[in-house]
Amino acid sequence: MPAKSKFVWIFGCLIAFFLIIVPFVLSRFWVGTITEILILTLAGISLNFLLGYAGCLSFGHGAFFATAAYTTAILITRTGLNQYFVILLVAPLMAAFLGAIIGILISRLYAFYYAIMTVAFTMILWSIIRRLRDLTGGDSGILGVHFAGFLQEMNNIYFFTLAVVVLCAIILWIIGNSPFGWALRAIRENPVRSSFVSINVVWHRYLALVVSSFFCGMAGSLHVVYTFGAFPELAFWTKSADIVTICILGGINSFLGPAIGSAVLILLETFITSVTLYWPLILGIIICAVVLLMPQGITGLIRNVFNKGRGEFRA
Amino acid sequence: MFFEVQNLEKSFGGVKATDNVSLHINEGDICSLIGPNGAGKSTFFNLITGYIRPDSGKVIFLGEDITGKTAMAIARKGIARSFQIVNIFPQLTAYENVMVAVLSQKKRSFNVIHPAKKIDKDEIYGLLQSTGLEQQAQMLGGQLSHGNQKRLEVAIALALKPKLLALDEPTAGMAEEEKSAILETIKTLMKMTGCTILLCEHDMSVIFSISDQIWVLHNGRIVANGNVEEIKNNEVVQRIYLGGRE
Ligand SMILES: Nc1ncnc2c1ncn2[C@@H]1O[C@H](COP(=O)(O)OP(=O)(O)OP(=O)(O)O)[C@@H](O)[C@H]1O
Ligand SMILES: [Mg+2]
Repeated sequence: MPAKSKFVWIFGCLIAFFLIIVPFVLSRFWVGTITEILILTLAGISLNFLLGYAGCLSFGHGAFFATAAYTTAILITRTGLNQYFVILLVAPLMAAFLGAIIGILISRLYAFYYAIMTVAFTMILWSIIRRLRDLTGGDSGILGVHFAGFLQEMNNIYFFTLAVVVLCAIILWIIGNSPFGWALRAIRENPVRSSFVSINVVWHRYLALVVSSFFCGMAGSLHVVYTFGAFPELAFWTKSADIVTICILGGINSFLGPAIGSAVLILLETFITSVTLYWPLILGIIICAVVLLMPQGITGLIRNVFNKGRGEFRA
Repeated sequence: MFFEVQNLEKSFGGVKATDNVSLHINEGDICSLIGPNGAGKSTFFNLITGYIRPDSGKVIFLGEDITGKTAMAIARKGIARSFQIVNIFPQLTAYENVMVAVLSQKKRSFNVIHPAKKIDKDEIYGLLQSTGLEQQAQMLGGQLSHGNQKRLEVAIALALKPKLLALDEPTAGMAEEEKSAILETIKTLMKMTGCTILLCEHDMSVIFSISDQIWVLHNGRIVANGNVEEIKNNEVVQRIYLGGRE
């Protein structure tokens, strides 16, 4: 389909161009909003690596997001360590470590059991964060976290976020198209047959969770760079639900689906909360509409238009 | 002994699906397992490939006790299987179905760097070609015709470069012409790869035309074994199996 790939190229270049000029043409408010979209996008892409490729529905990715956010905030405020490239490695590693522990317990579980266990873990983490007041600041969280050096100024934060998100997305893309990524797709499609072609199903699902939690942790760290703080809400289940929502809005069968989902979610939230207080109501209706009318999400809808309704979708 | 089963037992509730089964397979043979519906053929396949665990008894492959090992471990040892009821990756293309098996067989499935689609292309197309699926390479597994899905079953199993290939009714639900075509394919593949085949099949003409050894299963028990002539002339077999169907 040359017409399609041409379209994708032009569209991609336009987006890239737009993302580069954002700080020069838009107000500070919009630069902040787009930074937020980028961070949530990374969280979504990392979840989608697990959900779209391996077919594991984690409803607790907020746990990894929050773990890395708190690690970042604590490292900066409590230790002298304030080098962003060290912190941006250590914090996601903490998230991956949590993923590695949870993974031991849940990698053998499927569908609902997997999802409910991940919810349980976020709830536990949320309670722990609120309890460990000395370390985490309890309900009010940790405020005033400032990175040393150039990460003080909004435009720099924006470009830094953009660079990290793009880099992480590229890495996840590469992993997704490697033999490992294809083994995950096979497992999603048919775990039984996968084991009969000698794929180690449990071990693959386990590693997928670890990889996913690492990159979700990266998003959590970036969130601290952007908000200068870490808050217990990050571990509350609604945060996890947001991450799942953007994957479903965007379409879990598309690598960049979560980017579209994230943009739609945050832009809608921005607009709708400025006119009405009923944001959750409207979001709920939108999710229902997407699930019922376009089960492959927004990217699936776009693809169907291109395929003239042949309705074929691929991850 | 290449492959041997000793006193294998499996019950489901009150039903003895596998009742004190002992048999052996010689290397390089096409060995058939026959028996009426519900005789316990699929259960036997499931027991030796690690789908389910036997209650007791032993499975010995190349001198090694593989009883109760996982499906993955047994596949690694060199026993690949196809399924009676199509069991493929429906949302992956035929090419990708075979690809995941090939990559796994080569222990590449932990490689996170190389683009999978650029590895082992010739081998994958070779497998598709030898099972007659090269035209369908880019079609989704779930959209293939039933016959082609059964071929894909065989291609996936072959991708594992098995020493013993266990085919559970590879022609089930196929038209007559298609049946002989796929069995021809299996024969040529066997010559090419030198693997041993354990085949389960309902069609007697098919069985008699290609088997070296036949084992007859009835109500979970082995009731006869021998070469084609012996089985054709075996009274017990004629009574419980052949007679029962004609
Ligand atoms: N998982 C199971 N749970 C309970 N009973 C089972 C199970 N699998 C098989 N059985 C029973 O074991 C017996 C043997 O079944 P099996 O599927 O092995 O027969 P088969 O020879 O493959 O038959 P067919 O020719 O119809 O494929 C049947 O009575 C069946 O009902
Ligand atoms: Mg059967």
